[in-house]
Amino acid sequence: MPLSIVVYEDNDLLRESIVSMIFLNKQFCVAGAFNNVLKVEEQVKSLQPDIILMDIDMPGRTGIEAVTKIRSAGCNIPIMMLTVFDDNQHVFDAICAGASGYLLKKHLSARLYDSIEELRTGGAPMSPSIAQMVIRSMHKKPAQVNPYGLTARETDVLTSLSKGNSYKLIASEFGISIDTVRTHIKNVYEKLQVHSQAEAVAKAIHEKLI
Amino acid sequence: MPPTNSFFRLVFFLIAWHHLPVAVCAQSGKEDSLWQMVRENKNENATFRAFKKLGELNEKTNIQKAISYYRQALSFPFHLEYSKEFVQTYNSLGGLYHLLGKYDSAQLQHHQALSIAQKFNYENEIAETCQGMALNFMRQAQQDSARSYLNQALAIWTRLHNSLKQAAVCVNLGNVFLDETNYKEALNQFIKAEKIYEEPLKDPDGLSKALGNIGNIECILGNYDKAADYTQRALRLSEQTGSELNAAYCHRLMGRIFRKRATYEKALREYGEAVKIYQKRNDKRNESETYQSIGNIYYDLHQYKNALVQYDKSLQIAQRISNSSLMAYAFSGMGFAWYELKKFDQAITYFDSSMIKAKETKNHYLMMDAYQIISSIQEEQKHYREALKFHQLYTALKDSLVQEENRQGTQEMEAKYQNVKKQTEIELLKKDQQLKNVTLQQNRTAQTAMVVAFILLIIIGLLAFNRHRLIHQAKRQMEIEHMRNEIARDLHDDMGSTLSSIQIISQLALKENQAGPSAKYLQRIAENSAKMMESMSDMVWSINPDNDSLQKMLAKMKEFSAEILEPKNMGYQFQGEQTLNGTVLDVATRKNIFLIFKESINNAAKYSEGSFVDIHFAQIANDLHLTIRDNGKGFDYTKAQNGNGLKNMKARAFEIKAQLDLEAIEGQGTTLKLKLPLT
Repeated sequence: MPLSIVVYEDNDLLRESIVSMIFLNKQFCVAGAFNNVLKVEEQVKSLQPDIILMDIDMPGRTGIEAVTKIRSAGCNIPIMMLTVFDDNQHVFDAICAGASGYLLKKHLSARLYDSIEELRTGGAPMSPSIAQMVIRSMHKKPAQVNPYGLTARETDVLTSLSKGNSYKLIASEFGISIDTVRTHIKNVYEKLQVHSQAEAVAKAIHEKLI
Repeated sequence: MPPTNSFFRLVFFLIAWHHLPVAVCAQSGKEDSLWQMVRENKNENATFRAFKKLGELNEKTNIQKAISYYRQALSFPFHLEYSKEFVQTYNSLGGLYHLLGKYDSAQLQHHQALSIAQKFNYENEIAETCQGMALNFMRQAQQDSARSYLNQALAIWTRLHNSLKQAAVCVNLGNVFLDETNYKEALNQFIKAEKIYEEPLKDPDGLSKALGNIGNIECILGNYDKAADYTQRALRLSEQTGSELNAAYCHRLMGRIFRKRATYEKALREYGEAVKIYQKRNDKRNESETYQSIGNIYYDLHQYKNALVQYDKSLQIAQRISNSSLMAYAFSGMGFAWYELKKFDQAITYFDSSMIKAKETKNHYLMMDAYQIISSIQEEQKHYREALKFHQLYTALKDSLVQEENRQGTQEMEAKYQNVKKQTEIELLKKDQQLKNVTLQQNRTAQTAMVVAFILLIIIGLLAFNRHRLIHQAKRQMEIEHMRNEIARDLHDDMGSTLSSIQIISQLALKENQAGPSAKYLQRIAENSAKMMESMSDMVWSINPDNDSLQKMLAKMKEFSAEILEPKNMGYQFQGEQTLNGTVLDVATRKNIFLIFKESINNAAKYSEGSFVDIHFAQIANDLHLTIRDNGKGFDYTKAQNGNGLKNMKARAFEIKAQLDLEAIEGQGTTLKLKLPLT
């Protein structure tokens, strides 16, 4: 049963290239391809894909907003953000909004399939830049000592990653396996999302949106 | 009671006619015989001497009589026969006027004496005159003049080997030092005097004076037992020699000692004795002083009304003899008494008067007292400006006096400052002062805050405006910067997407046609578009101001190493990163170092065929050192010289003014060394 994927990308050439790529792989199939996320909730509801690929910077509504919309509709479909730069604040925001991972566009041709696979099995790669951003955002919330509720080990891994160490180095640094490192990172992602979701709810209650 | 002027005139008139004096009664045998001589009036010489003698006899018992006799004597025309005696009479008269507090008249007599004595070079008389004048200066608080005349007298008597007189001068010098609160010097002089007196030529009178003075100093120094001891000795001696003046002084001293020991009844009794003596001798100055001492005792006993009475008595006398110093003390005492009775307005008036008189006599302690108390009263009545004014006067004076203290090397200033305060009160006030300083300042600033605030507002307004302008400018700069960044990123985003597409499409094409003729072209397209994206990504990373730290560059380097080396199963390690501490690099430097690094790692991955890369950082002096070493097979340097890679690296190094060295030993690996001077 091939995985159905929906693609949101406003650059026509790229979108078509991605579609072609997916098409070439028998394990995947394209459920839909759009150049904007204005009608994202309906589309996702009706198409019910297994994976969503979404560009971050899109006109009209950004990918981040789309992610928020999808998640607040109670939909847990894994969403992979596509971005040119990974040190972008937007990537971080997207993750906090509920994205499950991200892929750099320059790595598309080489790693698209692997990344989708990883996402499907629950992994979520993180780059040092993102790790730095997570840590920085933690420090920006002085009122809470541990705003995302990370464990000590998770914080250690995150810190090591932010210094530029690869998963392999991190694993050897703490004497754990690479898989454990990946799990830790995945947990960090989830907590980010949970935290941001909780914040969103709290904010909504506070602003009487719910 | 002192004789009235009319009586004086009568006597004078009678003398002028050389008639028998009617109103004068001879009291002793000696006097009788002298009067006999006067009546006989053989010649001027004899009569003059007779009068002089009469004066001498009455000096200690009836000052006014003595004065009249001396004046009668001096009314005689000046004759060489009794020129010396004439001088002596002038001096004696001066001395008596001195006792009555008529200092100006006294000086006049001494001047007369001096001119004659100097004409005839009567050294002894000159010295006597000097001493007499010195005493006058002392009473008028002109210490320097007093000292100079005393030294003159001392010089003469030392020359004449008159040790007794020397001792007397020492005593007087000691008193001068005492007035100046130079206790060390005073004690020296008194001890000198005592030594002389105790020597073979015993002068009990002088000795008792010296003992009394030493007792005084011991009292000041707080050694009350010693003080009492000396004073008792002095008292006994003076009673033996019939020296009433000394006895009175001793009584007063005992009074002071008893007061210090808080046996007030005894103190009052002693002072009472002293007053009796002074009244008998018509010694106004000392009488006035003693009343003050009695007043102080009542003050200590908290009987302020009684204290006022005594101080008033002292004041009356002081005013009559025009003694400013005494008046200052009296005013001060009354001021304190009124203060305790809570009649603050009265108190302020008296303190004010005291301050004026204290200024005249340069009595700083009384001035300090007045300032401080007036300040307190004003504060209590909420006249803060006045309070602060006086408080500042007080502290200014106190500070200058403390310096004075340290210079003279004594710690016993308090003793001089006897007027009304107990030791504990002084301590308390000192502690109070600091507190008051703060609160006074606070109160004062509260009152004048409006004015200050207004001025400040204007200044702040100007400053804020200026700052706003500067901030605005800075903001604009930042906005421009930010916009530049945004534009760059948008550009790259678009380009990146397109390039990515090109890459993907070429890959797709390759997959479809792997063995075809266009394969290698497609490969090239794929590779180059990948390279392009990589460069773009690097460039964007470099210009991002967030990435301007060495730490960030390091992280990127590590990330890159992992990306390139790990797939090739090559190990690597970073060393020495901790030596780099927060140094900031500019855009060009970041970019170039990173690119050199990338090139080097790429080479290691592609060509070295090694298994490990060692990357070492160091910051030595002001230089950044980067060493990249692999354990591969090295390369032929000369061949590589022409290759693009090395050329590029050298070019980049040159651009950032760094030094690049490449060592390659065939079979042993390659080492790249980069040295970058940091500003």
